[in-house]
Amino acid sequence: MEKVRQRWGTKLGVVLAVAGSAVGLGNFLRFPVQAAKYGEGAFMIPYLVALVLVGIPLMWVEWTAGRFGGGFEHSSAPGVFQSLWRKNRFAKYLGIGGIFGPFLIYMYYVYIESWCLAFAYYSITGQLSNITSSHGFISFLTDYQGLSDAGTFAGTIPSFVFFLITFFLNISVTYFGIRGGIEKLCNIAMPLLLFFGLVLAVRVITLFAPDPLHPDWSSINGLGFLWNADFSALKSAKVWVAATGQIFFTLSVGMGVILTYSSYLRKSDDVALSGLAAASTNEFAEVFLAGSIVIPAAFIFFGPQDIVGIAESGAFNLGFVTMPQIFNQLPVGALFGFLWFFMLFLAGITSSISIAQPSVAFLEDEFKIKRQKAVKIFGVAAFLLCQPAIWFLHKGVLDDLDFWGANFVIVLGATLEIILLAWVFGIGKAWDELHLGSKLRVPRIFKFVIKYITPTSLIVLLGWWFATEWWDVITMKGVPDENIPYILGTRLVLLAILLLLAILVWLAWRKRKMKETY
Amino acid sequence: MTLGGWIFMLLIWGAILSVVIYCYSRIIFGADETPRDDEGILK
Repeated sequence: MEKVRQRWGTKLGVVLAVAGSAVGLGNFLRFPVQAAKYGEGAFMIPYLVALVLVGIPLMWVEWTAGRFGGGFEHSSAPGVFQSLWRKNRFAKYLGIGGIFGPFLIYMYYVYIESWCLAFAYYSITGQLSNITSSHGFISFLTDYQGLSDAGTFAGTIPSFVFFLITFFLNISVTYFGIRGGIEKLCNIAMPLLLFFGLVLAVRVITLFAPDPLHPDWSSINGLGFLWNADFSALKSAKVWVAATGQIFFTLSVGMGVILTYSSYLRKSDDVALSGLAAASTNEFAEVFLAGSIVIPAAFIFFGPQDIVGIAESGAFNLGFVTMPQIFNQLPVGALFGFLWFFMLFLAGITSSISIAQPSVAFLEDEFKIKRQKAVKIFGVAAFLLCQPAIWFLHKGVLDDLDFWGANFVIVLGATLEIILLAWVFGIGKAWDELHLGSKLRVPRIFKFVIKYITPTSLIVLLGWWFATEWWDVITMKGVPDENIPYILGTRLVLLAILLLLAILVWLAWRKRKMKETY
Repeated sequence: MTLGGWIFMLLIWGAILSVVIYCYSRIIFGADETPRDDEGILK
């Protein structure tokens, strides 16, 4: 009997699922860091330009390509790429990154997500309220991660237990499928996440200037730090690259997740309006909520001088050290701490279930394996491969995985994707495909943007990062000698996964060809 | 916060909120009455 293809239950469901995939930890942790790092008012203009010229066009490209590939019963990048470039039998191999990238991110993302769940628990149970200093919070975090041993936790057991709970929740949602698992969760989690974000934003903004010694350290001036535009910063190439990079990461484009989600749409379903809705929801969460929570809060309690230093100390420091420290100084701080970490957890889980889907869909569609069995295979493989990030965190394994997954593979993936759709498949056909069943007429200028501006921006971004940042990471410059075997081991495992995926793609198409022959 | 900062912030917040409201109202309530050709592409 022919298997019935999974579909989304409602249009709102698919939009919330894609928005859930896009709204992740990066919105609340990475965006404020990037926005504060370059100084007052430097970031927002390049950020908004990049949103219009790179982010939204890429969103439309992925939705269009995914629905097109879904019409050929393909839900993962190899099949979608092959559908777009049917004359070239190697096109499917270009899409391997669309499974490899999300799987790689899954290998550490679920672990970080479990920290949010754990810290939500420690907030509401009052364990974080007892900590009084910045040093205390750093010690609590590093103890929890197993990086230090101040005796707060019994080794890494608590962190592993929270990881198991988080992993089990993730796999359970994936197990129940597109409509029964992912859509149901996102329909509840996304409104809840936005509500928690709104409560936190209102709380921070209504603090005004709580310190009489520093009347200018106010929430309104905190907003000013983000929005008082500094036009001289527009001359800095670094700010433009950072802003484009942030747009790229925040919208979850290039990793193959949106391709997979939109492949479950019907041919007549809209993609133009849905893509814009998902992108605007993400921007609401990032610019409106994260921009009104983290930067003003840090500004009120640490002032304009220290905020740049806090940003430079990294996203984890900001989220797990600075923010709880701020909440501790508020009345009912434990509750606000809980809301903050649980909001991060919801943002995390709606993203992590999406990055599991390309692998599961690949097994389902290309090997005709039933969903439940495909999820079990994925679950076992993912569980085993999550372990290095947990146990070798102190050896820099998580950072290395993050570099390859969230930087390298997705930027390459997006570049390939847009070239395939706009140049190989053809911008004319792609434009018609985008408007098939559409409820929105995309301004014609975007035809030019998708064909020329977005690919050029991506190629420039790739070149810039390669020259300025990536080469040092690839050659392990600055990695302590004792960590090198672990980093090398991680890279060999990744290479093995990549090779295995290439073999699986070859096998799947061989099987398909044999079936067509007989 | 400067006057320019206020204007810039309110402009962008307004733009984002308008797009969010427009998109979701069309997705949730919008009947599809847009003119299309035989293949379903918007005219």
